[in-house]
Amino acid sequence: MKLSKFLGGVAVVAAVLTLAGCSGGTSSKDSKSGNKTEADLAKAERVKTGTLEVYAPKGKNTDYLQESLKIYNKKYKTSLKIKAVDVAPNVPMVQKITPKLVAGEKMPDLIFLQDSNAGSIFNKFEKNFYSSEDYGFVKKYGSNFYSAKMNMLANVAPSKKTYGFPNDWGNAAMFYNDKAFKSAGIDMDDIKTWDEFIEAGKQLKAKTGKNLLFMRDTGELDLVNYLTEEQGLSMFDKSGNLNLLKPEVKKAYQIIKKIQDADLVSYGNSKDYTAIGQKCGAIFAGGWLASYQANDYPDDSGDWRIGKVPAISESAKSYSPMSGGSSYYVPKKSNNPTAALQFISFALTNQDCLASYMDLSGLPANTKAYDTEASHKKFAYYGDQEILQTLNEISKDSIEGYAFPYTADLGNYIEAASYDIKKNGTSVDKALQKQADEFVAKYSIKVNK
Amino acid sequence: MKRKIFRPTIIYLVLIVGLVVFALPYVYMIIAATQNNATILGEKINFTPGPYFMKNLKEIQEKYNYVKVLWNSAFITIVGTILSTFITTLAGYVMAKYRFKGSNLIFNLVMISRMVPGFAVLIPTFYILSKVGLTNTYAGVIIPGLASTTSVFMMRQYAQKFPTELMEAARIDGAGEWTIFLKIAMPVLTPSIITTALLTFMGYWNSYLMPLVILSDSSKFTIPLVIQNMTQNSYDPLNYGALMAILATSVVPVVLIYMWLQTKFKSNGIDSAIK
Amino acid sequence: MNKRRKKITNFSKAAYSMMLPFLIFFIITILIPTIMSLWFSFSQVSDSIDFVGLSNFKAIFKDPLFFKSYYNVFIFMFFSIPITVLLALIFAVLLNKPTIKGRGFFRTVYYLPAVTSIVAVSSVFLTFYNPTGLFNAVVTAFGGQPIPWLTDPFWARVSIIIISIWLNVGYYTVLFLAGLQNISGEIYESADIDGANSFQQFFKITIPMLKPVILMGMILSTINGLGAFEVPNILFKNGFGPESSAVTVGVNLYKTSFEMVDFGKASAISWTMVIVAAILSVIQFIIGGKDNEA
Repeated sequence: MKLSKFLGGVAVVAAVLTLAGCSGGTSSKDSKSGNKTEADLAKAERVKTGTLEVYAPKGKNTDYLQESLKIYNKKYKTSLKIKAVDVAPNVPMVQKITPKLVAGEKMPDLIFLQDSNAGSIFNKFEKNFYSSEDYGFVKKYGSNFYSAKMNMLANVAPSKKTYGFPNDWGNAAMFYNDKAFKSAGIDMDDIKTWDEFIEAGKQLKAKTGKNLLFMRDTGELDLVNYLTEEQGLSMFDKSGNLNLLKPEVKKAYQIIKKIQDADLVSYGNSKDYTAIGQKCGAIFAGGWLASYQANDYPDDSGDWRIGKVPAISESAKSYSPMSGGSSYYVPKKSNNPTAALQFISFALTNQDCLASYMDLSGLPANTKAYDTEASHKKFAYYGDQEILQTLNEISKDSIEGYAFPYTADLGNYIEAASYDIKKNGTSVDKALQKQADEFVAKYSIKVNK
Repeated sequence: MKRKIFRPTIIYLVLIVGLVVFALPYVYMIIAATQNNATILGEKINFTPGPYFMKNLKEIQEKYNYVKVLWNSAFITIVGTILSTFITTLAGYVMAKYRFKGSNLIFNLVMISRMVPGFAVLIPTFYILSKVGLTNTYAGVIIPGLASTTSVFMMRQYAQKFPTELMEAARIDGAGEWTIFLKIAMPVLTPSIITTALLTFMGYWNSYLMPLVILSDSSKFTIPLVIQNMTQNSYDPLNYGALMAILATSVVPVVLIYMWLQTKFKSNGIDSAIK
Repeated sequence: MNKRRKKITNFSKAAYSMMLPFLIFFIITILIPTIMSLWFSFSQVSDSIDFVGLSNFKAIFKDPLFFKSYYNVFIFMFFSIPITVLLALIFAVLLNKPTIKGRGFFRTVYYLPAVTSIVAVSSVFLTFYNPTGLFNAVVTAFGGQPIPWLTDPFWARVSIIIISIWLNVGYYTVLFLAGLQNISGEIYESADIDGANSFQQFFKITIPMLKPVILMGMILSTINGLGAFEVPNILFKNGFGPESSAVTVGVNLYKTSFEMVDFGKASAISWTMVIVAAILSVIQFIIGGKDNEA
């Protein structure tokens, strides 16, 4: 039932008011304006003028779009403009767009959405967006992007059709204080596995007093995810069922326990994790940390390096754990969807545009970006390391994962399990079982054994 | 009253401890606005002012056009407060002083709707506003706050203390009901109206969700939106000093307005709300 | 009050015209949305609204977190309200003494938390709760061990309770002051003659006289506490806190609305809140009796 029909139902009350009285019924007419298919739009001529309204967080992402638009206008002799509306990613973006989607209100032409939020939006509003797959973007350019990114986007919508235009992508990397390790007599290039890393940590602590890494006081979460994903297991399978009780997760807890038993951990609140990590030997985080570290702790310039997360074992393949990413989406009910589709396809695939994103410390999901000169930039903070190349190598080994509406919520349950294990001494099996039971009850999904 | 429970020095000591506890967060806000990340994120909390206040202000002005943002917030808040206070004062007064068909029903509906959380009505409210073309306008932000049930409830309580005899005397003199309200009730109720207005003012000034969903133009944004955009943007590093500068410059003026009204009207208002 | 009620006049036409502005906006922006949200709670909400019967309610009752969130709120209220009331009574009694200088100033500063944004306040408290923040500096200065404010389930609850006390004491103080000013001095004087000491007077006269005000404040705080989400959301990145000790009904509602984007379920949660709040109001009415009407 349309909302407008319901409004008619309460018209007895509303009749008093001319204001509300004349309000019903407009929505169904409007929604037909988005009737052109993606295939039609793909054949459409290049739009010359107009303003693209974009919802995106102000900063590097809006700067990148403006920069790309300059290149685009020059190349196609168009005179498009961008009107960027500053909306913080994550929950505020969801809060901003969902009322419009429910009400059938006019949407912006482009929306910047984190992959972790896309699942819950597309679970309800798939019909309201243009598909990048039907538009031909995936066929034409898909193979240039990280396969993990494209796999993620392919699984956002319930129909398993791809809607997103892939913007950035990050995998977890190991940021380490090379200077501190060197002073403890360790060459981090030799450290390949977690066992070696823990041994190095003991030496680091003995020589410098530094702890090896940060863990949450409230129950560790990130390392559980990272260590599990390294073994090629995502917390959810393709159909959305829970993998929390698999042996890979238990293996992850074994390694965590080893680190804890060796007394190499600085515990703290998750909000302080970069601040505390800065004083440890290593921080595990997505590539985004690079721009923060240089900004917040300029005194440590030159000491740090970036590398791959240590492997679980030397023999098996080690995957790079996911950290997160974002994509652009084109709503059907907007003023300039054709121009938006044309522009965003260009911005995400043109090497000059991608280079400008990297200059702004963005991490494009398009691998072609890493052929450009900009991607070989040397970062003084990391001892002139070409960190964009390093991060690209890491992302090539990314695990393939999925984003469901409840993905983010699982973190709270893993944290609770970790807390239970560490503070109450509950066995790993029991703690995980308890949380898994609660989680599957909440979301009516299955748990894989 | 000759109750000597405590000696004056102890009383003052207790009151001053309370003073420090309540004032401290405001003091810290102002101090931190003059610091940079290194100091604010530093090992120990630091109460010495730093030299970064102007730099922080400059940053928020350049990045968010902060003066315009302040203006937007002020405009929405002042217009909204005036309209809402007038409407709810009228309604509260009528509910206290008149009996008419449906008056009980209205009162009960007001009481029940006070218990419905704001999230629950967000989408329906947006839907209605969008149907009457008020999205992306100041009016769209102002209107949802006008019929404040809390204000009506408070004004009804206040107005009950207003002596009915005054109304009757005026009627004998031939005054109409509107005249009685405007010329007699309003002046008598002024301190209570100010109190209600202050809470409405705070409601508009701090409101976040409505402006977020209604306003789609960065040039119309209000202070809470900018605060959220700063703190929730996980893509660019946060300057905590700049954040504190926004908090300080948005909280302190309101505190000053409150203190000024306090001295001007003496009564604290909720006083008379409870009989 | 009852006597006055009877004198209420009967000028319906003028009354209607004075009510009209409020009624228009009340119906459009509150009443209709409220009815719609009730309808949402029986529906699946996307770009169309499809009736699904009781399934939203069944789904929320299946989630252990739903009950935990109510449990948490009642824990918070159980501890924060009595302490708030006690502190506020102390401040109110002290500020009621005519001999105290600067009463207006103290009262104003105490009332400030009630007029400032909870977001701003919580952000500042967040820095105070840091392991090396202000509170631990005070604790260690007095020779104590640093307290894991935000990282231990027990202390996480304490942290929330402290903020909510801080936010509410001033409001209650002013509320009680007004009530105290209505208690005539004669009652105390005759108590003095009967030889009652200050503490006896406080418990035998002051508290009983303030009972309706205290009760009203308690119920209002509980209703507000159900919906509160800002404090846990800012103190704990996910609003959960260690062992989900900080999850309020408001946090659960927030997450269901804007992380899950499930407005049907969110509306169902909202209406459980309405029912609980209604029950509390009825209790208040019964205990408080007529003199506390509304």
